[in-house]
Amino acid sequence: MPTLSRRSFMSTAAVLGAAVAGAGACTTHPGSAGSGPHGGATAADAPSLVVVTLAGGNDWLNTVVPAGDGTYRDSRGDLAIGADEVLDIGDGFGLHPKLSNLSQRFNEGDVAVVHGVAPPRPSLSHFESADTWQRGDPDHPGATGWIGRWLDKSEHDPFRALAIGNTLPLALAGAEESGAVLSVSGPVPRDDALTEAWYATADSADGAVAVIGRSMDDLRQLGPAQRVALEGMGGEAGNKARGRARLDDALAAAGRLLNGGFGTRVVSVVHEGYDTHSAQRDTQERLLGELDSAVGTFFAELGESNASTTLLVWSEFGRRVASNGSGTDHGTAGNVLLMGGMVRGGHHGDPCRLDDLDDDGNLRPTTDFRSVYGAVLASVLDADPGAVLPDPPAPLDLF
Amino acid sequence: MRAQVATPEPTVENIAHLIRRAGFGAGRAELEQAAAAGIPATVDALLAAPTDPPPGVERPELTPPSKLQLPEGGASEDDRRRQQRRLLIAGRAEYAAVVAWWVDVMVATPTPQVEKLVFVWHDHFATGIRKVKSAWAMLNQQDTIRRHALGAFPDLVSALARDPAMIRWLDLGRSGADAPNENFARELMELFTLGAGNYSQEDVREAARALTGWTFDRFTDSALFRPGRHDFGTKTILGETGRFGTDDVVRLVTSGRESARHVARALWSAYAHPNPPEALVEQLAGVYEASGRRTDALLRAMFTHPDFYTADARTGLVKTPVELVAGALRAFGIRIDRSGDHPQRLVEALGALGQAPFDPPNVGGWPQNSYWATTAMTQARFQVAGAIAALVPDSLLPVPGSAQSVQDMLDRLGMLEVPPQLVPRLQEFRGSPRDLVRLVLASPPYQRN
Repeated sequence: MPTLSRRSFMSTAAVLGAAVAGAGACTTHPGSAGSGPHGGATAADAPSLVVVTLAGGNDWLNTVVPAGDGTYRDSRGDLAIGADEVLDIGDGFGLHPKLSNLSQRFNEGDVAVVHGVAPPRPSLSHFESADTWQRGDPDHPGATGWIGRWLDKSEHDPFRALAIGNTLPLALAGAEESGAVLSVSGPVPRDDALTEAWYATADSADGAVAVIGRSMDDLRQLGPAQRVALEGMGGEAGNKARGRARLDDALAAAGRLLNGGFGTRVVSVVHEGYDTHSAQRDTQERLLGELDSAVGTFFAELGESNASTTLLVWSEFGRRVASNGSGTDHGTAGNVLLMGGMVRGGHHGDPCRLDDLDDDGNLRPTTDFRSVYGAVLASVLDADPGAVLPDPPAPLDLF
Repeated sequence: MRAQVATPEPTVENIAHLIRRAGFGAGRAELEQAAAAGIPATVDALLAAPTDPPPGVERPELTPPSKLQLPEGGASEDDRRRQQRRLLIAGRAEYAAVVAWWVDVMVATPTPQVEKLVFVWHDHFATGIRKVKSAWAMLNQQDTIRRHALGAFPDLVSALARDPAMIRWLDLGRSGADAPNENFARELMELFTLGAGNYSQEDVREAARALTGWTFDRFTDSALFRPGRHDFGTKTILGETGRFGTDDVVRLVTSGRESARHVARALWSAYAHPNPPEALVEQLAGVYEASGRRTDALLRAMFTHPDFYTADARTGLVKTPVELVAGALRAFGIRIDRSGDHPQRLVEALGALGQAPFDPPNVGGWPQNSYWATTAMTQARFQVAGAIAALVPDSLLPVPGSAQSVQDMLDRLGMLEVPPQLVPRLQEFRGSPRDLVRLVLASPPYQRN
């Protein structure tokens, strides 16, 4: 191999693109004559959903704290949050002290706290449990998720469900349709002759590569959406490893997308780091602080779309009741939080009993996760839960 | 087992496909040489290569767990946090260093088929640095894989069952007779050796008992067997009963026709196309078994099989990010800059494409084909094509206005079959050579493995 001058790999890709949304390929969507700049519905026209995944298994017991419960204090020892530290939300519960925005919205009636949520036969494995939640199906393995199957019921529209990040969450994968994945950790896409020429080569995609051709077609349409998502981020947001975005950047992008008139109905974002086997106190403080701040800013900037946008916060499981010393291990039931103007605020579902644990020392769930999804599908996504979720239990009264 | 039919024609197109799949591709000159030698001779040469990394690429300095400076018992909370932060930063730097090293090896090596195979095994036994938290341990695992990459598959499994990274990754060290941890036993059977449906939950439980006792010794950086933690009782696994230990479990899960099918399916999917037909799997499994379960024999049977050269096989795989980057850099002789923050940028680029080495999404490894086609990853291919085009030496760029030099560049990339629709688009950019290179590297035909 001849010796060549060493040049910096990726230094050019790190340069901020100069693109401004010029004559980008905008599409208007037939039948969705909305008021947004791109002709499609804005969040003000049609209800929308933002799914926030807390990845790793959030310790819900220290998030929605049964502050008055003596068993909680006894089981958790040093790890317990003090009754004087929590932010009271009634019914014997208080929120973790870092969740000040959330507690304020709860008191304004905009937060539904659902208790004791899990799939039937909960799994203590991240992959299995996360897959079950994303599929919305505890009984059949498969490659489609609950929002993906909702997407399958409509014609192809790359804007309809968007994931901020690099990989497609299973929840957004359908049999025929899927959400589009928007990276917000790269340079702003340009709108120039070379990019157009690249899009034009999509017709030379055959065999297994055909999927890339279709993706290029979607990208061409998504350009304006991506520019809107990236604006105000200084071009290089987020954590570049694995293409992840920080939660505040991702939620800010979600808000802009929902207000951008693209007809987007669902945005999915991920907050990583919740698998707190150790160092839980500090880690949770940091993460819940980030969550609270990002959510607060999201709603503050959403404007009039506040009334029709719902945030759904979930995690693949809650954690064990007993502390392991400095943290907690994988558990079963947890809470789901829903926030927004459409939500019927307050407590839903029966709280788990801390004095009646299963043989592994874990909480016995009281609420099937599909009854939460059912409510969201019916009230936010205009869908029949039974058409998307196999054999669902009755939806909860969350809206 | 039916007799092998005659090997496919050594056309330059067939050879291009073979060299792309077996390694990272090559230019027309090299392909024509191999075509002259014929497919069997080319395959033999590919599989005769030594599996050590080539000496010309300096290995990174990585800190083994025994040498890590952990916070001392008496240190203050602040000191501990500072030390932990230092470890985290050092850990990230070592990770980037080992990725940059491996990609540079892929570019510089005279035997790319070895690096390709090592990556295929890395994916098959997907172990992730996110949980292992030691670049040293990841490279140590790679060395173990290299030792057995082309040899007997049961030996590879046996070695990995005692590999420090694997022990940490699948919680073997947490597994004791009182509470056997099923993680490794389950993934060993489901993913590595047998496949779902070919063992029972009971088999997993019993195998977990047999595998107890191993742990990772932080003072010697190696696996350690502690008899006090081992379950010495009788177990029944896959129909056999005995006081089984690790070696027995490995023997049981890697013998038999079902395991042979699983390995054949895994390698055919990685090299040819997903979902091989059962009749083909049966045939390959037979060859593999007859050879003493050797990987080189299985690969030889695959690479000389007519089904490897069908249209389905040729169009059946999207290039993985590593194949894309390694192939393009090799074609233009672009080495990896391992200084400063360039390794970190390389990690970010590969991450944006969806595949940072040593960091699989989970123990199932990286999925194929449509997995790479999210809009974000597809866009990343366009970005990375630009970054690579910027690094092409001036002497290798097409000359503006010269159709021949465009053809020369396509030959250099091993793109012998360029779809007619592509050529006029390339002509548009004949005045801007780097844009032209970027367009080719990002075009769908170049994404074909």
